Formats: sequence, C-alpha cells, structure tokens
Amino acid sequence: MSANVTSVVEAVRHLTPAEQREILARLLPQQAAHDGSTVWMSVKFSDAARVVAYTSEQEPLLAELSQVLRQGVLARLENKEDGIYELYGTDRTYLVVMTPAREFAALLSSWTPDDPPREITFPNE
Amino acid sequence: MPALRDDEVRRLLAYLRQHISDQDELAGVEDILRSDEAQEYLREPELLAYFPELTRQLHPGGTEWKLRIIPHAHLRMVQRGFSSDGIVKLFARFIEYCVEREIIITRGAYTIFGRLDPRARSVTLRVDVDEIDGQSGKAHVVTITVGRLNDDDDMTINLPAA
Repeated sequence: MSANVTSVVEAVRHLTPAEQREILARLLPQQAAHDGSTVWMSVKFSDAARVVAYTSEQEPLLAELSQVLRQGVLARLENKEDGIYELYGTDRTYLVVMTPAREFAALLSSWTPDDPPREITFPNE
Repeated sequence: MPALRDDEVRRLLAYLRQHISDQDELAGVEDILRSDEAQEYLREPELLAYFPELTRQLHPGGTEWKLRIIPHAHLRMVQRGFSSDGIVKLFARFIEYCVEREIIITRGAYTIFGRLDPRARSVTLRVDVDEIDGQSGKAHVVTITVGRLNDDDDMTINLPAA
C-alpha cells in the first residue's frame, strides 16, 4: 500500500463505518474486487439489464444508475437474503435490491459520498 | 438460493389470499414462493401491486411527521410478520432519541438499529428523511431487514494496523 493511501486510511479512522466505506470504496476498488470476497464485488450489467426505481424520489436517477451498472461498479452486499447492495458510483452511492445473475436492480435510495446514511443505535440494543 | 422459511411463506400467502381473487394466479404465486426461486422473486416488482404504500401520521418529540412505508418495505413487513405500528413506534423512538440528545435531523438517509418491541429480534430500518422544518417532517421507510448490517464482513477491506 502506498504512503499516500496509508495516510488516507489513517485519516479516516475517526469516521463512522458508513463514512469510511464511502472513502475506501473509491480508493481501493480494484483490490477489493479481486479479494475473492462475496461481500465486496464488481458488478457489470449488459444492455439487457432491467433497472427500476421502488420510490418516486429515485426515479430521476434511473438513467444514471443504468449507466453506472453498464460501465461496471463496485458493490457491497449488505443483506444476502434480501439481495440488498450498496453500489459505489463515482459521484453517488446507490442502495439497491438486486439479483446480479438476472441483471436486475431496483433502486431504493441514494446519496452523495459526502453525505452517507447516519447510523443510530439505541442504547442496550 | 435458499427457499423462504415456512413461516414467511404462510404470512405472505395469508396476506395474498385477501388480495388475489384469481385462484390460478394465486396457485402460481404459491408455487414460486415455495420454490428455490422465491428470494429472487420477492426482489422483483411483480408482487408489489398487492402491497400498496402505507402512510402514517405521528407526533413524536412535539413535531408532526408523515411516514410512508413504500411497497417494497410493506412486502418485507408482511413477510417477516412486522406490524406497521411497530415500525412507526421504532421511527418515533428515533425522532425522540435525536430530540433528547439534540441530534439535528436533516434530509437524507438514516440507518436505525433497534427492536420493534423489547422482546423482539433486532432489525435494521433504512429510512430517507424527505422534508423537515422546525415543526414537521416527511420521511419514508426504504426497507427493513432482520438483524444488524454485516459489520464483520465489512472488514473485508482491512485497515492496516496503526
């Protein structure tokens, strides 16, 4: 790992896990994608892919997400049973329910890398 | 791909019997729900027409909130036997928790870890806050999953030792 990347890794240690993921996913996509991991993976869809939005708020972003999936994108599996993934595009992260083998993705939510989901855990839970 | 659990299939079929009158269609859906394709099938939009968006009004922490549960989250709620009241209460706890600790709620995505009741399993509630001012807010439930996020698995990208 280069000195520059190491310094960035050190700099993000104080951030929340979601904030760390936003940064590291964009720094280390190739390394992560070739880890053989079943959690972090590269996803690339063909022109035959089906991409839909499950909320009206996300519909304006469908064309952009389709383009990202056709170009190839780093994905992190968040929930295996439901097929929930985060997709790390250059300028936006997308929360989708997805079946890569069927080239199907449904957009649930999205955010810019500098405004990831805030995490709230109640005490004693 | 693992099949759905029996209790999940039973809940979904009990709900769908009240909403699908065509017995052939219902039998077809049941076949898929009992097959190894069920998990993938539930990700797709076909069944969402039977799970309309739910809207609830609540007044936690002295503010007025309108909470929508989108069709995908409604489906997951029925699949897992979660009540809309439980989800609304968890969201209200989130608002009250932030108010008590002076955490400013802004537009954007939130991940809430908690329980729908004290003896229930922990869940992860994904919520988008759409609008907010000093007196009121609008938000929608994006999805709800059982348990916490894959925190351990996240470490697949390993930070080097300090």
